[in-house]
Amino acid sequence: MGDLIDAVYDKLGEEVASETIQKDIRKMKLLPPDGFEAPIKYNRRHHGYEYTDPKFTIKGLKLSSNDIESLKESIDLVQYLGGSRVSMNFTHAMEKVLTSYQEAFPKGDVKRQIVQTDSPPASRGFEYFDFFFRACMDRIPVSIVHYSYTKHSFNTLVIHPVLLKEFDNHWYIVGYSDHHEMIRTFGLDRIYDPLYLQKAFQEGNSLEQEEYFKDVYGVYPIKGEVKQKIIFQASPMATNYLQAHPIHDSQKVLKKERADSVITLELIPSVELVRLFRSYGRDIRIIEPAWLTNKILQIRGGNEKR
Amino acid sequence: MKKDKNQALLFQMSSKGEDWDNLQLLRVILHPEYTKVDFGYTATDYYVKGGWVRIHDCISIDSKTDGKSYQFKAAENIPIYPAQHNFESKRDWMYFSLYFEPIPQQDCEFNIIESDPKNPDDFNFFDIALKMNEGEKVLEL
Repeated sequence: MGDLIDAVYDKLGEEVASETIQKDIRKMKLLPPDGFEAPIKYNRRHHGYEYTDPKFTIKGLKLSSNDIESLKESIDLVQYLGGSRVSMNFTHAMEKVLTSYQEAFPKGDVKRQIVQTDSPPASRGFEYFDFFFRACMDRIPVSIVHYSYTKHSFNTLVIHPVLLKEFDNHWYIVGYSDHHEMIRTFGLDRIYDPLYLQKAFQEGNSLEQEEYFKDVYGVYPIKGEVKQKIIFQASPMATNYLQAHPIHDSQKVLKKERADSVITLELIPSVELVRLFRSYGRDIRIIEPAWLTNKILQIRGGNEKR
Repeated sequence: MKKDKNQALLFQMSSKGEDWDNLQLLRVILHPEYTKVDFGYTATDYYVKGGWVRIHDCISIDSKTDGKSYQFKAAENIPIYPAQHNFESKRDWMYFSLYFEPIPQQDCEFNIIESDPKNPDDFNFFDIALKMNEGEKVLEL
């Protein structure tokens, strides 16, 4: 006991009573989560305490067989859901944990797939996911070359990334653009050769960013438009879908006797919202705002002429 | 700007190629061990299916400041003559980079000449000026 008291003193720089150490030993012997289930025994020959299993350490993780099974199930689920670099990194991290427990990792198992998700093949630009993740985490400005599909031209930009955003299986980086002097969104698929820069990071207004993205369906808000009320009439078929899969948290559905409805949203109109409305064809009719009605009618008219 | 001998400097450019509206010089990176130049090329209506591109390995950076010619070292994402990349449409594009011998990190002006400065079919750029205080330091993590 004297040796133990000395060892604690060496480590902590203060003397502790033998009662305290006895209490700690008792606690260490308790089962988790109260203790560590430490195999401690008094050795009469050496007049001291010892681990009966010399490999035991309280520094390692203590996982029960239930914990291990849960981790394995989580890995399976993340693989099914993600199919991406995120899940790959997660799997590697979990592999390390399980390896320390010498648990067979279910790599080669032929399993019955019980969850199937929409997992598109790896898209261009996704290889920069980790790069931008670090830029967002560590607040590092980045030089990018950006190719615009619509303008059919290249541009070089310095951006200050704050958020990686996924929408419809596409990944985007959101950040303050020095050139545009505002927060902008860039598809990873249109970015080439990003480079970290050693310069001051433009924080931007993070609260504003957060609010901004809460009120947008998709990633590209329509330039100049603010948060507004959008009212549209939906056919019974469209009503069923939209009740099951609301467009936005603000969605309110006023269902009518014939099962059609008037639906209200309160958000910043976006390119993706217009695209969504168009995909419903004549099952959706915009009531307000008028400009949105005209926009959709124009596009529809243009398509019909082709 | 305080210079670090081992740190690369990046210059964002927006120069169009001589005789080429659809060829852009995008960035120049002065690394102590190499000079990297990034380009963007967009196919046009002029050629069937957008035409083709390639680069001659005799391309060089000819400095107007010290009179030296900095030789081509490597290409990334563009074939070297006699190979070529054939576009599939008039709306295709290509981002590519060329590596040259390192240019000293000091204010300079240079031309990039593919082979013949008077040949309108070559990728030529004239009078590219770099001011070191306009360069951004590149972080290598």
